[in-house]
Amino acid sequence: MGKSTGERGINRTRDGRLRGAVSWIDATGRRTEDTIASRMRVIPVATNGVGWDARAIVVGMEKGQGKPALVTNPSDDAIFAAHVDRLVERGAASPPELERGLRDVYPRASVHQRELAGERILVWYAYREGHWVRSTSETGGMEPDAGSSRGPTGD
Amino acid sequence: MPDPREDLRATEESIVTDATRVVALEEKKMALDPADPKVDQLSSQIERIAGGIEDKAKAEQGLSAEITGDD
Repeated sequence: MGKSTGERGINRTRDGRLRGAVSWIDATGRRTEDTIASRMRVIPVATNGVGWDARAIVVGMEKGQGKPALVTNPSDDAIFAAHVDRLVERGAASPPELERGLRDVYPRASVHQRELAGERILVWYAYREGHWVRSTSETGGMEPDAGSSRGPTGD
Repeated sequence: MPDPREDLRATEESIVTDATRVVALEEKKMALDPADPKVDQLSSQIERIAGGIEDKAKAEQGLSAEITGDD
């Protein structure tokens, strides 16, 4: 993931946490805006003499430090995969948090993670039905558990 | 307790899905003029997906080893 720079409204609360929003131009030239999340590393470039001020550099998450590799099942449910991606991008910082977010739309969803010993690799497994199911392309178009396969709405 | 066999199957399928996306994006890129700003955007997208494939392939190896060890 490339470096990205940005500045806007970053403050440190009395208990030392960062809060605020950032916007930046990423390596592809696209402007992105997001709230500060623990998965971002924020380096202040100017301070007001008291603490952190509004100017900062946001460094994209490096491999093994931030966003995990995401495995979604069924693999051909692009709507489910996009919803998982969106929740992670918006700050779901752990498998239980992601699972809670998913269950608003997919009540049977389950998420767990695997770490590889000796490697800085983190993979999150998000199962729409709570367990592995065949993709519809393999079943000739049959939906294994159509009851919970509705997509997210209003987003 | 997560089932490593289910995770392995899901990982394999996810790699195939990602690889298919990479092929589609590469084909899209090939159709563009190299000076087109979209080329950089597509390249970044491809790089990100390819990085994910690398991680998943390593996870796949780990899962295979875990399953083989269980047998």
